[in-house]
Amino acid sequence: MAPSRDAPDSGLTWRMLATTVLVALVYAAAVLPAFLAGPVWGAAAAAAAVAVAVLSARAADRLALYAMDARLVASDEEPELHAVVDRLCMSSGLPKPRLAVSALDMPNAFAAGSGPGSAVVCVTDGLRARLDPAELAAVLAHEIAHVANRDVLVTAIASFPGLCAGLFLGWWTGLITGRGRYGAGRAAALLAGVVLLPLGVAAAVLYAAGTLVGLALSRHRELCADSTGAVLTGRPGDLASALGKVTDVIRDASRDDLRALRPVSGLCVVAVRGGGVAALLSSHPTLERRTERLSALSWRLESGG
Amino acid sequence: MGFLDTLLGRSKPAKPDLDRLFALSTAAVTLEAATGFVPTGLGSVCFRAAEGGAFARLQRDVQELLDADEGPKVEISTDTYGYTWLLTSHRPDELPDLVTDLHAVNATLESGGFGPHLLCSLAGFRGPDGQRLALVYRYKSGTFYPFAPLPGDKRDNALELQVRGAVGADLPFEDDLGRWFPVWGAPGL
Repeated sequence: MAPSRDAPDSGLTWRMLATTVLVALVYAAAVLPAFLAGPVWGAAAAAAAVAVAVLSARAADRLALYAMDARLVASDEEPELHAVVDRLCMSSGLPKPRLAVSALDMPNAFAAGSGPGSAVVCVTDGLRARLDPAELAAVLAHEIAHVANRDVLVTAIASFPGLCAGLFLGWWTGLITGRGRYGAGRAAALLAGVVLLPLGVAAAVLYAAGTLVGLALSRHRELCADSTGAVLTGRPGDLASALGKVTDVIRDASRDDLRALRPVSGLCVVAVRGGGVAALLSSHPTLERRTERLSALSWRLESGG
Repeated sequence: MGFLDTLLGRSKPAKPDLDRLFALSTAAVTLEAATGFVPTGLGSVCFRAAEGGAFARLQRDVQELLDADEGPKVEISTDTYGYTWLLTSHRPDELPDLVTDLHAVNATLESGGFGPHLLCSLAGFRGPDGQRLALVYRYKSGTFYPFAPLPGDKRDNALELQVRGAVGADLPFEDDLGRWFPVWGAPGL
């Protein structure tokens, strides 16, 4: 069978489907209380949840660029970078994303924007300095794969209920602990907190479930983007070595350097959180797991598909 | 792209149609009549060399297939971005043969399962005043577009639009100008 761009992988597809069902369940759990107030309220809550999720995903590209201190570059400013992306788009059939360069010295890259039409792909100066052209092309292909798969939109939508539950949880904990309140106000807040206890517990469960499910989804999307990107360039080895280099630098980096990347960590080609974090709480799969999959893909391409 | 593909994080490649390449022969006649541009007899196929031995073998296969046909030599070169170009040359009046060669190279690569790595094919043209022009066939979309480089990494957009006006009806043309991707320094240009 001819290898195709999506690197058919039924195991991954099924896991993705399972995670999608979980995300749907989290959404259902979030809007369920509103349905108790009546079907109209329920439908309104569901519509509002989706609308806010989509809107936040649409504004995310400008925010991410701002957070990374990145600027958009035209083709006459960065002809080499544009040429690499031109060719990736020629072979992928995608419209060309806008390109941005960030002056940060930490090596990383991210894609933002809700779909192929409005996408922007950003690389840092640190990435360009450390990777050779083939590796850079592999990283750009990974990001373009994210754009093709609309990963930014999907993960934003998936993580939204968890995010809202987290906000509510913070507010509710404030009521219970009486932080910043005194006297009668404090007692009233405590009373309100106790009355809202069931909602608080529901939010805690939703927050935990939403976060775990969102991160699991993100890890799967990373693996998908790895294989789509690798098949796009036809050279999984380049991506594996690029990931290795970036991970090395990030592991050795100081806390301050990492802080610069944190706002867009979930979008980056390699997450900035260290290895100390349990795998369940990471937005990206481990380097070992990604390398393993890429080697398997290498082997498959080598044996002629 | 379908909703389900978005949901599952995958994207489907379009079905390419190589036979569209043959339309180049007719288009060349129209192009010469309308603009005075004539074929140079040079054409090339570009693909991304995958890693591993299978592809090196395939590269040899392509060469052998064309050699067996008593056809012209294919010159293999690699550009700075890691793409491989197969350049084939004919006499300027043998455009149909050139197109047949381009088709054969593409078909061989495709049947070897490397269709996803095919980038584009192009045929070179020269204007009355020596301007360079290529009609580029993008494998993925099955469409053509013109590329007219000027000295100093600039493109002659006016000429490209003029070419579309002349041969747009003869060829399946790329409508989206944003996808008229430049192919700087391509062999056969």
